[in-house]
Amino acid sequence: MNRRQFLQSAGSAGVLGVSSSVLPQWMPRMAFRDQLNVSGDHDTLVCIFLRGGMDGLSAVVPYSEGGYYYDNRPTTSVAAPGSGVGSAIDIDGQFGFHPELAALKDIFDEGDLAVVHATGLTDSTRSHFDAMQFMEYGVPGDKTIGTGWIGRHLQTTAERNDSPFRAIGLGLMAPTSLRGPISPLAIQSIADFHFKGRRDELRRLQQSLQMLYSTDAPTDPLGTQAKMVFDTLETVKSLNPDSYSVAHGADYYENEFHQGLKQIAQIAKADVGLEVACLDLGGWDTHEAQGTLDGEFNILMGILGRGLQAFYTDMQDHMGNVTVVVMSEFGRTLIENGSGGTDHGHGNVMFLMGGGVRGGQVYANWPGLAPEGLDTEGDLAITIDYRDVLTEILTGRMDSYAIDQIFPGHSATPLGLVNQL
Amino acid sequence: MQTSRRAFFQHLAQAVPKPAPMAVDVRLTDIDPLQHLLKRATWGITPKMVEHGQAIGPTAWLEEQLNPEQLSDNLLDEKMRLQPIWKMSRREIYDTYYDVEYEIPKRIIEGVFYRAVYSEKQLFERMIDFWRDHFSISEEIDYPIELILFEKDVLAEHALGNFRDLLIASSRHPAMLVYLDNYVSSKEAPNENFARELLELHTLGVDGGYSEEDIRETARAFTGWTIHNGTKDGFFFDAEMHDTGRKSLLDTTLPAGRGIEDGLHVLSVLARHPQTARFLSTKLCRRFVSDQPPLSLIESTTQVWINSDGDIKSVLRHIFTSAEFYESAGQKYMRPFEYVTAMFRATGNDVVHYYALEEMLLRMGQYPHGWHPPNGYPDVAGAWINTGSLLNRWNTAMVMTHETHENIYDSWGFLSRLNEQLDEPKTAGELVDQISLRLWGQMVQGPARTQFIDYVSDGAGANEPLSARLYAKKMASTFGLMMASPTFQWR
Repeated sequence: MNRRQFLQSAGSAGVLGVSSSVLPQWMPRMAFRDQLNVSGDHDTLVCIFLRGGMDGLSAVVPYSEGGYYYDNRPTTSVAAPGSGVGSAIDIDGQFGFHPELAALKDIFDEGDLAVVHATGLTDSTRSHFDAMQFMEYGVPGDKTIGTGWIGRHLQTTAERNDSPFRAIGLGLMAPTSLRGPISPLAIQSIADFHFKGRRDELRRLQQSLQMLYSTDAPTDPLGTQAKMVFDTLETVKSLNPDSYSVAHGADYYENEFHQGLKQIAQIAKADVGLEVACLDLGGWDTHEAQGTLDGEFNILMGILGRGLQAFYTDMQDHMGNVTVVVMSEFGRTLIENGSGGTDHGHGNVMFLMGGGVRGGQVYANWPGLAPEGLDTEGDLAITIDYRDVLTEILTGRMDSYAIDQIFPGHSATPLGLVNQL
Repeated sequence: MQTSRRAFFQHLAQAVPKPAPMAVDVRLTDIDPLQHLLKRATWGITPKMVEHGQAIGPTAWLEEQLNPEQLSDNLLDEKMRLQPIWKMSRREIYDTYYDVEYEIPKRIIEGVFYRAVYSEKQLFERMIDFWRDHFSISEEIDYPIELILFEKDVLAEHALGNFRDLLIASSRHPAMLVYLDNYVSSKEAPNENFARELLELHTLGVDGGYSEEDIRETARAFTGWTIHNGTKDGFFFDAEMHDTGRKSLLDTTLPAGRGIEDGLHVLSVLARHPQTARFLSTKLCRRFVSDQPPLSLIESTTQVWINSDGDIKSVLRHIFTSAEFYESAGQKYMRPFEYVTAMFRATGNDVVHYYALEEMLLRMGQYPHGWHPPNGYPDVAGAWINTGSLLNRWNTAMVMTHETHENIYDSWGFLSRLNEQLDEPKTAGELVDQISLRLWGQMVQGPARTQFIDYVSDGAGANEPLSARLYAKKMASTFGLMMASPTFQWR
């Protein structure tokens, strides 16, 4: 039995088979919490994906590259620190934050935020959809594996936690990284998660649906989701989402990204077994009029920076057991394109935030922006495989012991990004 | 520790038996060919359509649908009388909507929804929807008026025509030129966004065997394809912006010194490329047959595509008459938009206020141009099946049946027509069977029917008399329950 077969057979029967044979089919799993092994020896991981290809060269500015950066970026760069309004915020004498990431400077200085630069997916594709799929599968170039890197982490640690809130994807669809035999909870809003219908018939309708989705479809994907719905309904009742108040005056805005982070904070604090939460922020495909400092990119940077700050503030008392990772499918071209934008590039930046992160520094084998350091298409090269970063989080903070199944065929280079839990 | 945990897991994997095959009746796989065709080629079955299909037979019905210009659309015309935008010219739309551009995406949602629910030209509407995903453009584009013109002049105009014409119409349309940034692409500063998606999404497919160099050369070929408000259709070829140099892509050489011919040449090469035939055939089979269509069908469809030079009707006729198609009943999971239209068509319910419809579609997560990346809404069940969306479906079925009234003055969002679908059912069993006919064109049998009857009769059984009291209490909820059931999620 090779690894692939192992993963598949485990996925199709093992994990799901156990819970349904041990517990009565329709008994909400949360009722059995005291019998479950929800171990506490790992962080809650928050995985933020910036869809569209975020321009890392504008987010964490390599201002010390001088002309190699500024000459190629007449309208899409950020001025070196100290050059007036809208200039970069120096973080280590070599790189600077985009001004809209000002909120993150304090967290960086606290040592709870690290930057990884010139990192990403080593595959050469510049298709959004292939790059996202490879990155989220965790296997560059493989379109057939069918499970995501987080999905395999959950699968290989399945005995640890049986909560429906174990893995959640905020939004309409669960992201590819969560795909796997352990069903993630895809949810747009916990406040809206309740059952509608004629009031005096609600209980009967719910019972009938339980029967319909169980007797008719024991192995159907819908049957699994239906069970999750009922389990989740039970838990949401106890969460009382309408009454949540943020801690320490954390300032979430009304946008979907901030509200998503706020819900993650609430679920994490409620102690209902949350291990991994995924959240997207889209709109980064800035081919035209990027607006690095005065348009779309600037706005998105603000949403990202202030969202992370609000989450950090809200989660302050729990941050010792939270790791946030921020990534995007690729960076953008070093040379801007003449439409005031940038095209699909290669190397990019990642952020890590959390009490266990060895922050306050930029991790990079910086290849530079001089021609000899660039990749074959003339863009920022990748000198740190993004899987090296994720491996450190998984093994250092998430108590993962099957990294060879999560990133098969990849041998990670240690970076020292996190303190071992 | 490491070994023992893993060994434990491996042990589980081997000890637990493989899942049993799915209970057949959940997905109604045993249905007659006409029902199957009607479910796949329409936005949901209606009694009238089933009756018509039975009268003329599946072959004639398919031909009718492939030649929609012969079908009259009285009901739709009546419904669309309050939506004059669809009959307006480009100039009239600009004159009327220029100051209220933000209205345009709503008018599109409304019009597309009404056509899906009320038009006789069901397959035509389904094909517009297919192309809307294939040539996906976000509602958030800078010139929303162009979006409705794209609907009319590109998608509707060529939905059942020739792919090459459709591709050209899309590529020169201001909506596409703006959405994928080609309108600013010039010889000094070529923008590769359109070129990339043209190859990756519109024609060859991501594995179509092209290189980054091919993308850059394609971008050069389309420099100068831009927009201008002084032309008839908004398209303008700006020779000043065009790169006239020699270009070489996909084993084709474009000689130096040409103008708009460069782009047209590329589109012809792409439209006739066998890789395009295969990519498009696969997508059509995935849409209309199954998430993982049989290889045999992909291959035969590709051959029909090549032989007919991309004639969309010929390709559809092949797919809908193939043996593989008739073996695929129950394999497609309804996407949210078609789930909603199928409920409206089955219940006869009507929309009173547009905003109720908008709210419903937004919550369900699918509406025209609501997908913002250029690859279109996903077409496979795996993308749509998740916890939140399943609860949304149940709740939407309940809204359709519970939060509706027959009296327009009591109704906030939707008018209920549930009573009209029924023929005085006398027992719990009759109620379930009559609703069943409306939803599926046939009686559901087996455990699902037992559950439905159990709900209506509170456990008393199929022969439980349906008193007025019981009818009032259960009728609407039974409709809701049956539309929320697993059987109604698949077609």
